[in-house]
Amino acid sequence: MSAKKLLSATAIAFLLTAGAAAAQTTGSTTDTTGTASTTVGTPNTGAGGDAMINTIVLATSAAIALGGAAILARRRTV
Amino acid sequence: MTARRWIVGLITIAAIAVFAVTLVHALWYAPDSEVPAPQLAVHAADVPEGQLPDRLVIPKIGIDAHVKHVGVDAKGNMATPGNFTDVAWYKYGTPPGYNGSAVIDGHVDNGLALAGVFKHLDELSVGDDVYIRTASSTTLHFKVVERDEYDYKQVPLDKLFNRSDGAYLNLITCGGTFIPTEKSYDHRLVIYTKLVS
Repeated sequence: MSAKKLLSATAIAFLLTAGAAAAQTTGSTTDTTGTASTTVGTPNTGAGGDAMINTIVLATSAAIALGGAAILARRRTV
Repeated sequence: MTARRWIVGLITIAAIAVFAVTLVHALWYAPDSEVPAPQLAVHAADVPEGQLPDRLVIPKIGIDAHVKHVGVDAKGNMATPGNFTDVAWYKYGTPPGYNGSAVIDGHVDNGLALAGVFKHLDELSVGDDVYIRTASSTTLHFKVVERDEYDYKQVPLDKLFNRSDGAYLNLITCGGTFIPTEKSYDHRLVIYTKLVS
């Protein structure tokens, strides 16, 4: 397999993984329901814990997009 | 040559899509898993629609936010607004201005750890003013009477949701340190306010 094909396959695999990660919600995952059957639990109102993974996904996808655009632009001018 | 250009083009488009979705998800769109709860009574059904909360205004910390009406999520917890700029009123509880505990929540930060609508809620102190503007443009004036921070599993739920000795408006958001395994912060900040007029 050529280096370009390997790079393309890796990029596709990353994008699929990143897409799955980005699709995850920050909805409540912690059960804080009180003991009373009609008492609701407290809300989960913070998403800052996802900052690192979001930053990595944004940076990597931007790099791939810019790289792909550069390749397409270069081949067009060749 | 043509096939390679197609592959590079598809990868580029996919990368742009992932970037856009992640950015929107991190900065603006926070979908919550609100589920139907037919066993819970919507108190607002007895209240004229014009008296339901529409905006939350807190002059000291510069909040002027739209109030969404939310229920519960799949875990049985109060649901949250679907973005980082609105706040959410618990529609199965008391409407603001009525005897009981009206509860409003809001995000403390977004998916890039930037400020959410309730980022500066911890700056409120006893005596500060909080206002609710209803759908009919009536203004309800509340004052902060108490503020507490609790471990996220030890919040006094009856005090937060079920008081009956006055007309309370309780504001809640997250605080403390993020627990990655729980996908939650380890504290909850609650600002208790009481109706003035």
